[in-house]
Amino acid sequence: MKKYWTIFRVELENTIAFRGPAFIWMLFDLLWIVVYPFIWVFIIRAQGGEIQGWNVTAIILYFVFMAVMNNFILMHPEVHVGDEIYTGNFSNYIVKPLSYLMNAFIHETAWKVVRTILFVPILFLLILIILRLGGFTIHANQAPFAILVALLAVPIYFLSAFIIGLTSFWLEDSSIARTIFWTTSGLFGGQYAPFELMPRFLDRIASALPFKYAIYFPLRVASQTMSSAEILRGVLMQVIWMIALFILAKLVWKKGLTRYSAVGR
Amino acid sequence: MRRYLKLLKILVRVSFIRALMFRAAFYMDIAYSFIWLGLFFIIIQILFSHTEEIAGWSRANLIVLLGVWSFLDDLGAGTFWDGIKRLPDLVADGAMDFILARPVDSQFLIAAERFRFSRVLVILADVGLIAYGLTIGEMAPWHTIILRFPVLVVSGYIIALSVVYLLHTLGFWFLRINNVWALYDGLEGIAKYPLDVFGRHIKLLSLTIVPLTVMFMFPAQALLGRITTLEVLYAPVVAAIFFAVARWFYQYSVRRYSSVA
Repeated sequence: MKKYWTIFRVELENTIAFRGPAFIWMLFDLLWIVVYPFIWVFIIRAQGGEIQGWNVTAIILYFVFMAVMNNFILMHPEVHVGDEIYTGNFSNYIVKPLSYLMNAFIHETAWKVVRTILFVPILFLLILIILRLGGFTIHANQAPFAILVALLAVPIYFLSAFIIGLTSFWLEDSSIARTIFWTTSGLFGGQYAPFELMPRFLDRIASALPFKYAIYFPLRVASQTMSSAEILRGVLMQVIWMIALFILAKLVWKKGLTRYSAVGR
Repeated sequence: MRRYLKLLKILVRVSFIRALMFRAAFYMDIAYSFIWLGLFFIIIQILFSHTEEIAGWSRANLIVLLGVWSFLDDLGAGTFWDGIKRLPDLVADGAMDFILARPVDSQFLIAAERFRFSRVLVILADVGLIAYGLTIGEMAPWHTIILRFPVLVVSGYIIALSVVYLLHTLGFWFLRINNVWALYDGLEGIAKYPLDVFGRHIKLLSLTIVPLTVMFMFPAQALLGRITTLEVLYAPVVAAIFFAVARWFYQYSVRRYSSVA
């Protein structure tokens, strides 16, 4: 464990020294989220102020919460991992007595720490928006669950993104795979619209994918009243997805290693 | 000029050989592009299941806008984007030495180093998408399309190329910002929707400093017959300004470069 702590410290120092990329990712996640409230507010206003129980305040709150949760939960190992394999830098890791998965997680955690610090001024702005809009109740009894669910969501998204990064073993460049991943996880994670505003079949597909449990479910637990049974069912699904994705990541990793040929080195 | 054309021909051939070497990636690239279009089509369906139009754009109009957006995106990704994306890494690794030491324009060499043929093929699908949108919705008379659309598409492409270069040139000033393309992706992503929904101020911004409207909406408006002559004349001016600024900024920034290798 000591070696991973050392890696974390080095990665943290590295990220602080080169904080530009962390700032860019934070902006990227915000831009992604900012577009849809505008569109939905426009549509809701045009439809007389309410669609299926969603009014302007509710939809803005939804996306503001989404921005906050995304900043804490979403990690982007797919870019780093994909680039390392593509450029051949990956060779540096396979000869070391380290778990590459763990190494990638630590790398992303260090980034997350710096990103969160950079996010603080925006967080205050978002909290101001929430307070100004009103219509939000803090469910204190749900708070421990909200933290647990958010913590479980981190490895689900991380492992999904990690697997996408590993596709570089087969594809020369995984940038298109990344774009598909972002759009798919956004669509089935509720980043474009709350599930109540989507057709039923999309909700059913989303329930069979991990993204709903990594993005939408933590947001619901943090912002709406839910029964204990609902929360427990969601937590169970999160644990199942976490184990399944971990096994899948190991399998893809094993298969990919046999194909690796240090392109560019 | 002839020397550059010859060089371009060689670089295109090298990229083609590379594409043949990674055939799986080539086919996957095409498949993924179609999946992406399909996913975005679903998002349009979700939005239009609650409304007839968004800021005066019907579902058919939005399909045309998406087609134009995707056309320009694929054109850029198929030609110069991949090369330009390497710029921050070239600076950080000191590999710019090898580029600057060659007796050709370094900006040209960086951009033309990598073409992605799969994306050029996807352009055919984008044209199909545009044709579908125009068939089910409104369409400008042919003669106005022939006169205006090429001017606006070329202008949009030049602006996009300049913006991509401007952002990546920041790699000379801020070390290791090799994810700066995400900023362009994020900004460009906004232009898949009618920018009128974002209000007057952002619309004004999208006509001047970040000219997303000029890049993507103007060509779509030309196909739909919703563009004025003044707007058609405005686009090449913006393209020329952005191109000149991107060129100047690169030349100014390259003077800062000191090898780190």
